[in-house]
Amino acid sequence: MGLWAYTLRDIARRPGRSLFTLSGIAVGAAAAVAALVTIQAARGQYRELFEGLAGRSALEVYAPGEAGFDPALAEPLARVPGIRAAFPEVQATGGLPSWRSNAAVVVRACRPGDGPSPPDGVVLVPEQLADAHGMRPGGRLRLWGTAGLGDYTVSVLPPAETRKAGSAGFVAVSLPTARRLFGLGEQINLVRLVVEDGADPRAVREAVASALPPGLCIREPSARADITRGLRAAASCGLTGLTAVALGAAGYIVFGLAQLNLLARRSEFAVLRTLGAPARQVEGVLFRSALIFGACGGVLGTLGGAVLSWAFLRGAGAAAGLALAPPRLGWEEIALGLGLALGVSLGAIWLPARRFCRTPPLTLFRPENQVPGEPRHWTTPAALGCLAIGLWVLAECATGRLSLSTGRAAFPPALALTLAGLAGVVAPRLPPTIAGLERPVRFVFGVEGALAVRLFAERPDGAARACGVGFVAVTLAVGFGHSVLNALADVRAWTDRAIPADLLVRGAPPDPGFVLNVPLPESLGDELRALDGVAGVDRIAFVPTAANGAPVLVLARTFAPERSLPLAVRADEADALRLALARGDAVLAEGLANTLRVSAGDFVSLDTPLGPRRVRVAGVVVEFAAGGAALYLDWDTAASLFGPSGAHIFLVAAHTGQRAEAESAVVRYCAGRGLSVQRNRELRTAVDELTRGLTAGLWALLAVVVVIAALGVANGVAALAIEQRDDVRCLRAVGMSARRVRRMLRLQAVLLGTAGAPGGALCGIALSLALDRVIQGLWGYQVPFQIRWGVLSWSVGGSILAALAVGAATRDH
Amino acid sequence: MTDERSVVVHHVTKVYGVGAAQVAALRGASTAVRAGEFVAVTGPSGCGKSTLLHLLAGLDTPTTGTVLINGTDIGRLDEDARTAFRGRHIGVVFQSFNLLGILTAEENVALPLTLGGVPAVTATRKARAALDRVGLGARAKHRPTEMSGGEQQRVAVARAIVTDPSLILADEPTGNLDAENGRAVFDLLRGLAGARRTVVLVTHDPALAARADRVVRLADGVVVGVPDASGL
Ligand SMILES: Nc1ncnc2c1ncn2[C@@H]1O[C@H](COP(=O)(O)OP(=O)(O)OP(=O)(O)O)[C@@H](O)[C@H]1O
Ligand SMILES: [Mg+2]
Repeated sequence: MGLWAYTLRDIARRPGRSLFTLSGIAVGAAAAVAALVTIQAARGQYRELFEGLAGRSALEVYAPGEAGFDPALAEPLARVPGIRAAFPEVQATGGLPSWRSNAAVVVRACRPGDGPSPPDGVVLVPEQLADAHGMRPGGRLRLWGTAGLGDYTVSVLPPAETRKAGSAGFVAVSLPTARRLFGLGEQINLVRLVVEDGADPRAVREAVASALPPGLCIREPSARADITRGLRAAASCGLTGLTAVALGAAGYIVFGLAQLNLLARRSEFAVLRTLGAPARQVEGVLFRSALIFGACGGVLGTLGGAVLSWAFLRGAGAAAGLALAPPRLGWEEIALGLGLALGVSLGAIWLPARRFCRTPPLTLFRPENQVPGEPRHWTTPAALGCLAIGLWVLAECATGRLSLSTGRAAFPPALALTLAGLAGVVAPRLPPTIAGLERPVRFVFGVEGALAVRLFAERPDGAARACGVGFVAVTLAVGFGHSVLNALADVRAWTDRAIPADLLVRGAPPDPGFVLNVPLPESLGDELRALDGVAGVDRIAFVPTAANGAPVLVLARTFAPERSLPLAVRADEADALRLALARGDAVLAEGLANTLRVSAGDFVSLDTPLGPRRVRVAGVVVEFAAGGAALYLDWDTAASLFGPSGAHIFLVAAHTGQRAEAESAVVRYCAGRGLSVQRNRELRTAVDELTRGLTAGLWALLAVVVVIAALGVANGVAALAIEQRDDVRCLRAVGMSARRVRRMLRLQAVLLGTAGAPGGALCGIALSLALDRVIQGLWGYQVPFQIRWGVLSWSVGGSILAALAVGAATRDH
Repeated sequence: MTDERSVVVHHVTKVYGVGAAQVAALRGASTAVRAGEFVAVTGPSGCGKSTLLHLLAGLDTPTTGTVLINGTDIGRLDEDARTAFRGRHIGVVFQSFNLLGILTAEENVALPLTLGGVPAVTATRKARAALDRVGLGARAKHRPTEMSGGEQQRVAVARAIVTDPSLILADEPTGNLDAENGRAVFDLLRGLAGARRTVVLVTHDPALAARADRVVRLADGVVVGVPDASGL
């Protein structure tokens, strides 16, 4: 029997401990893989649509805000070296009213011969899309555009043709039809450039850019989704941070289990050493078991991560009414899952055991508590070092001394380092503290209590490890619970203040990425205002462009003078902001102001069809649209900068007391026209569901960590109980009843499980405050802090309950 | 002459702990054992018998003095070299058997060979032979928990001889056994001595000690009576 078989035999012999270890590693890896897969899926979401439409070797010329321009501008572009052809096109988002649910589709029109171009009045629909909406060739189809609702004849594009056209997410019409639908006159809004094979794309791009008149820009097709970059970055950083923490927690738990395992195997290793196995060979046994756990945990974690991400994307997609692309598991993800699992496993099982393996066999033969002063001095300085470095990096992030990109990259590891350091510093202090409580415990619980407390003085290392696991779990639950709940409360407050309407009317259900927005004619607003019970109608348009070179979403809106300013202003400056907006100033989302490093009084340069324009920043507000990469302009300011764009949302306010009338009138009006209506409470539910869907995933992950921590404590209690077998035998021999011995062991379990809770609660609150600061420093969101008694009592109560359960499960000895 | 003597202990002291808590377990013990001899070490509790045996096994190093095993100064070797030396030349039997519960009797016996890199087939064959020698060939596939104390100790003896060491050290191997089983294990060890295999055994039982080739008496950390039979 070789060392591999020996290792496997040992793993199989302790199924409980092996299972905890394996799940700890798998959860860490699953968190990382889920985060990566989700981020990748979100990144690929729109890219495929637009790259499909344009072809991979293509560039697009456009005007900021997707404004129209003269098709003659396309002529000279075809002559730029490296460009094979230039196709003037119209591409815009149309609203497709359907019996099923309204949908936003890309409407595309080109010259006959350049691509699919049906006769006037006919819409070419890819077969897949036609099937999904129950359309038949020759049937009728309506489309919402800037100019209103058009009525067309369906012609179905067979799958082969669809493939040639690149994507199934669009419908094709003739150029005149598209121009009429989107009010473009004789203009186009896009020139598609085909790059010659073998030409250097960057050089071609620069050549085109220098040939463009002011007001026109060039981009890769997938850059149309750049506006989602902020949202994706925020989501990916959140997920990465959480992953780092999950990995740290998993590593700590696995480390604790591995240490207990070592304690239990002292005499076994002593025997091996006595039989002539050098330290290297004993280390080899542990190395092999770390490899086995790492590999199995990596495989399980990678699969689990893919499933988690799939469930998460499905949940988020369902909440947002979208079909998100299914996540894909590639080599990158598999390598990440396996690599991290092996890293955690080797780092937590093998590395810390190397010193143990070099311990002389005679020392190993003695029980742990009889080893005179086995020194542990390296633990605390290392933990202090981790804590100091972690806190220092977090402070640098919070104060903005690090650049945003460095800070965002350094934040997750710094967080994990801080937590690891905190656990390493606090955990060894817990047993002496508990041991100091002997008198009060004896007073309450009698001799059993006193004996239970002695354990903490007798076996401080084992006790510290078990307490430490509970401490980390409570810290994480309290810290993240506070940050998540406080952020959620802020999002809800923002919904209330920024969208004070009773009803929202749009051409299609909302697209959380703000990429596919259906433009509706402004005149709809007047018709809506004329309905019964309606007090006022505001409109919003989403105009994608760039500010100081960074992609932003301009929220162009009207501000009804009779109602309070619908912006989530932090300070009491609403009136000043209203005046400034009317004057032509911009109000920036906190996140954008932070990214651009600007504040009230500064200027930003906006890309417009007229060329770059300087706009003054009047103030900064809470705004989560487009991941915070948003800025408000007054409707008229935006129209003068970007031209007429149609309205993307109508915000309908009802007269007080007439909400029901207004509601039924608006719903009736919209039903006949194929518009989609959202009641305010539906919107709030949708926002709640979206945030809940996002946070549920995070919570689920934390919950798994906490459950494994509870199992870790249980395992620690069991290991300590086994070590105390001799003491128990002794106590029984001097006449202590089995019931009282059980009571003592139970008390021990409860003390071990709860010792970390008070400190964990305090550190959790500190963690949450630190997180909020760092988030403000790196993303600009200022989350108002509030103590969440629910989270506190659930976390602390949960740890007590878990400890009681562990205590109850403590078997007879 | 030197090759005649399997073990030489020369003015060995062993001090545990530091400062006021110092304990001198051995205070200048000297003795020697001829190759092939069967020696019993006796003495009152706490006199340093186990300490002496640990030094002979290279599990510990003397504070001063020298310990020669087959002419090698084992106290001068580093930890890894001592471990390797022990693996090649010394077999150890403990009072509390110390068999590994995850392994069968045969696997326990084969373990020193496996650790030394001997191919599995050879290791198993030798382990079978060793088990046959202690009369437990039929129990090869049993786990230690399925055996009596006497049987477990015989498995431990088989494990100690499987590498064919020149020196076997046993610290109270009969201490955990009843009189009958104790005698059986003692006889087994006795039978192993000779043919250039030396056995040193610690025992409290005067009746057993009396049946050894020679008795080394320890008291308070020194060898008392005739220091050795070879004129050291
Ligand atoms: N690791 C140690 N640290 C401190 N003192 C020790 C250590 N090991 C042994 N001692 C002390 O050294 C002395 C000799 O111990 P040793 O175990 O050799 O005695 P022994 O003769 O084997 O006794 P017994 O017959 O009871 O087994 C004892 O006083 C003991 O307390
Ligand atoms: Mg002894």
